[in-house]
Amino acid sequence: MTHNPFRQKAGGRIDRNSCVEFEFNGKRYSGYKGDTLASALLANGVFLNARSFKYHRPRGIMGAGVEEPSCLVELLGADAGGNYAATTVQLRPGLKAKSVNCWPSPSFDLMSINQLFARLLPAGFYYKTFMWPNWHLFEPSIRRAAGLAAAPDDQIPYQHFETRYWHGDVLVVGAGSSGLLAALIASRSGARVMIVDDHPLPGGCLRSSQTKIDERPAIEWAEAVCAELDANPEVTRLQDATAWGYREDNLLMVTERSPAETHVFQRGWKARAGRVILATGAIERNLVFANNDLPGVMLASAVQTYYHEFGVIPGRHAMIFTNNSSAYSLAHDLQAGGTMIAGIVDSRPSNAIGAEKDGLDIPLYAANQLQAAHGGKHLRAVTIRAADGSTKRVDCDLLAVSGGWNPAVHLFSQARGTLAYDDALASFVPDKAMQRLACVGAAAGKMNLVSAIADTLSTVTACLSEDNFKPSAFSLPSFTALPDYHLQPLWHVDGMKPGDKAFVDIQNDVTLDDIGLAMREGFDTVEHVKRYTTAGMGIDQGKTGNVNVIGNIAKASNKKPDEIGTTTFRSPFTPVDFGSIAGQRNGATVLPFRHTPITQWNKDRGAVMYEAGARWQRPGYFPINGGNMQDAINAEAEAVRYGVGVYDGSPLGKFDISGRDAAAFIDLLYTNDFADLEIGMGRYGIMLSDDGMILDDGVTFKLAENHYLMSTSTGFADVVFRHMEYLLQIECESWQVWITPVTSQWCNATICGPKARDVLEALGVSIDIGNDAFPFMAMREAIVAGTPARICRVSFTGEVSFEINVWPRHAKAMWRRIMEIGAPFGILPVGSETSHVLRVEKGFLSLGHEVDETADPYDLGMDWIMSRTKTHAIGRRSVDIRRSSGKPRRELVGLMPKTGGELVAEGAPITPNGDRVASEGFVSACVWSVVNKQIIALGLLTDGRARIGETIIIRDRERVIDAVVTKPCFYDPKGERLRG
Amino acid sequence: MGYQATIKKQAVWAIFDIKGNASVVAKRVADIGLSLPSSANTAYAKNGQHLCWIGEDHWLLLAPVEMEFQLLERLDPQNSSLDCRIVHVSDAYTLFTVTGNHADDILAIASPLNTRQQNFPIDGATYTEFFGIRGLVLRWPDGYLTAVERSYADMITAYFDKITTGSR
Repeated sequence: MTHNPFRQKAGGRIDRNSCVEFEFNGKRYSGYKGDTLASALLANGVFLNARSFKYHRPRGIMGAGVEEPSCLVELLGADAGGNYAATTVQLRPGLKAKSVNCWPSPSFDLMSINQLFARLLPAGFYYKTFMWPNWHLFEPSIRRAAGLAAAPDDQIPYQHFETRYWHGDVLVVGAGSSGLLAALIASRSGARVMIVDDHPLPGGCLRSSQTKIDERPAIEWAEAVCAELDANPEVTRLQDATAWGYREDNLLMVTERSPAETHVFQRGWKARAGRVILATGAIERNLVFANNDLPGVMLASAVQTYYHEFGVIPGRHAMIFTNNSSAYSLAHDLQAGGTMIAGIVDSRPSNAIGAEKDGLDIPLYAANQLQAAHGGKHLRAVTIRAADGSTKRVDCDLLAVSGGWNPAVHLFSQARGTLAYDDALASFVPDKAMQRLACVGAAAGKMNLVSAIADTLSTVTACLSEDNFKPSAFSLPSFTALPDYHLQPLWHVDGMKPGDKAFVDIQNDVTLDDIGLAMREGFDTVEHVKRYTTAGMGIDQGKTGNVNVIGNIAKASNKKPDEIGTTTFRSPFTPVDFGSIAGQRNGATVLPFRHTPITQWNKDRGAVMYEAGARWQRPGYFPINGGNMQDAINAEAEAVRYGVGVYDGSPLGKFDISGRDAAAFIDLLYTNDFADLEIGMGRYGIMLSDDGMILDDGVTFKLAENHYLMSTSTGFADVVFRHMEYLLQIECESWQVWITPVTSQWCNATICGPKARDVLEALGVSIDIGNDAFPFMAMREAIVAGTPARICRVSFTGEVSFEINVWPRHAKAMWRRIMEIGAPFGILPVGSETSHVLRVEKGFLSLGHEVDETADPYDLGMDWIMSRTKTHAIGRRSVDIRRSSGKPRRELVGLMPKTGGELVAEGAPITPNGDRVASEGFVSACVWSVVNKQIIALGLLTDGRARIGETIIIRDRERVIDAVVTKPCFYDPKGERLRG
Repeated sequence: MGYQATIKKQAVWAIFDIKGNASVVAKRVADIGLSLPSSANTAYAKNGQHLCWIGEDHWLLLAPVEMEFQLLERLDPQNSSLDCRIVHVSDAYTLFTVTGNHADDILAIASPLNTRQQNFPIDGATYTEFFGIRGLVLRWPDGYLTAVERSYADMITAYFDKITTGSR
């Protein structure tokens, strides 16, 4: 049997036959299926369950839904997560939760010592206090003290997050009376509808209402509407789902917390609708009096919710403090339920209090204010202040407050809609919408149910008609009589004493004094007050406090609230798990990745895989038994230099370029001449950006007249494609050139090394591959190992190389055959680390190393590639203009660092005399050379070519390294081997 | 319960990338019995071939692999002297079919494409974002056919596994 001392014997919508055990702050409790964590804690009499953000004051549960400003919890175990409002956590067996921002527990929190120094900790104190010697010295400990829950470490087992899209005609946010009616009208019109509600059950305020609709309990009407909506396949109804962000073009971000699919933990929806209906209701606001944050002080609507939905009355002796008519319905409910009510304190004069008081047999303190709440860790009494200033202390352990209702305009504001101040509501209501949306019900400021429903019907019908739907005739449901909503604003009570803590923003610990301080210091606009005090920031986004902040600024500055304006409401409306935004993009798919047909072979062979640009995963190196990474790289490099190696060159970018103007286009792109290139031959080229910096390099083969195959670097293939498309669409619009990316249409296995030709012969090749018949930079079509192939004689290693290009469907078989046939020749697969070593030995440039968008061909010693015979090439003029200044440039050089065998970090600066001064260059690459048997490097050095033979100094973190400047080629400078 | 959908990675299809003036292209594809689609982002389908209009003066022809050599012969992609360009790209793509009761749900997870019939007609064929990359989507009996660049096929497979089984 569940022991819930504050649970009524009957009532509520919980399942009293299903007891649920849970754990909070290490103690075991029980509740019922249908409870929230908050309702179960209150039922168990756990009232002190949080500490405040800054002062670590005792806090309890104040609300019953997303508005909860006080009790944030961290969930542990299977659904680990942080900063959930306890009011939105559904109780489930095994739930484990703990309070945030207190240690070791809310009842004994060491940081509560802050309360002793509260006078020294006003808003912005740390901006002023921790200036010397350095803010960053104090920052970590301040952040630790003020932080909320930590990010969870554990993954959620067996489930995952999911994101998905939805497109429809009408998206309704809120499934209260107005939202349900809007969805019903829209669905009957034939529209595709989504209705989103943040509560597990529909109905909104109807769940706690005693009103009858069409002569039946209001909640039954809501359930009947839902049944009709559920029967319509064009309607998607989401409960326990929050629309938390409103983006451009009616795109709403929704997080669904309990999807029907068991393998999905949470689902993030990106829902776009032709029309959005915001039926987000209203949020009750607090009243500002001394100690209005004590556990036991709650919003009146929350007390009513706990009573009706959960059968919980969180106190034995209640008091109500209000400035409006709505709190009286709670008094009626509590009176009917037999709860002792000490009275109602109403700041309105008695002549302003209407029919709402009829039938109540409890003391009514009209034109009175509640000056202060008293108690240590829980409310014990209140002080009531009469209009004449006299005070009276009354014992109570539950204080239900209602400062009026604020339309929940957060999403409307996010949609860039403007707000207007409504004197009757003393709050802000939607004014001008900037997207195709409409607000209905309480969200539109219609606080009376009957007027809200009537407004919803007319508004939604008009919207549907405008959107070319034909809404069917719809008669208004009938209601039992409801009192009108009436309020007189009360921004704070009178008679507070110096030092009283009266909070305007409970979550951020912002007091009335903080607002005053901000204004005295000149931060007197609402945006400045927000930033100075943090009011309305963070998780809460001012749900219960913002209008009080604005009201108090107005009062202090003798202005009307509409002259003060509002701050911008930001998304998310409620805390959202990052997972529900990232969705399925986690784990192995957190980033895109690309494979070649050989990738699995590489992995099976134990290769250490790297991303090698443009999301391609390539083998870095192939570990060898008993050796480290350098041993593996050395073995692979030696295979290429002295035997034979093979690498998968498939990721290199490839483009088929053809058309009447293709030859001219190639000449425009590259700095060197291509006009005389023969069919079947290729040429290395460099292309520049408009500003004359190297954009990319690669070999382009001429396949036929006006037909080329261009290769680019792996990482820059997309950049080059965009560059070419831009030229064709903007600069050369009339040219006939067709470019087709064929990177994935061709895979290549590049056999390289002195024995490469032997391996190719052994594979079986249908053409003469001798140097005369098939020279360097030629391309031939042939049958290799029985498979049609394109063979290219290019070399990135400095050795004889044959790129065997085949369709990917043949790639695995070709690769296996090469390894099998190459085995007797000692062939080894080669990773990108080894390719890097081989190209550094040769002094070949690499994008991202020597080419970093600051180098031109002259800098790299490639004057020969800047043709002077053709009229134009992109970027050439920029190079000429820049170089005409004669200013010194950083030039590519070789470096022989004296490190005793240790590599130098790539990017390490070269500085004059090794001093900590502006650099004169940097190390672009550094490797162990298998042919030189020493560390070699490439670098860019100011006036480098004139300094060959000089010793320069590299700063590698704490090391200072001497290095001799050399020519940037350490192996076969004449290129005899690769042409051999 | 997971999604009721069948996702199949397809074997190689015959695929040709076609660019050029519409009237020229129309003559070329007429040789293989096809017409150009009537509007952008739709496909003309006949005898298992789908000619998709995917961009300005740009089409993609998808056909069963059995037709590949016949199409290679008749479309003559090696011939760059013609007034339009046809490039053989069969191996550049991997195709998946997504069929079953929840095919729409799978597509809604993978892609922002609005697949309501009024937006994406029965002959719809369009490039869209597909699990964060570029993908071609066509309607297919009881679902969809999608084509992505082959190098991303393993990633797309991992995504499909993840969303249908909840594996991480």
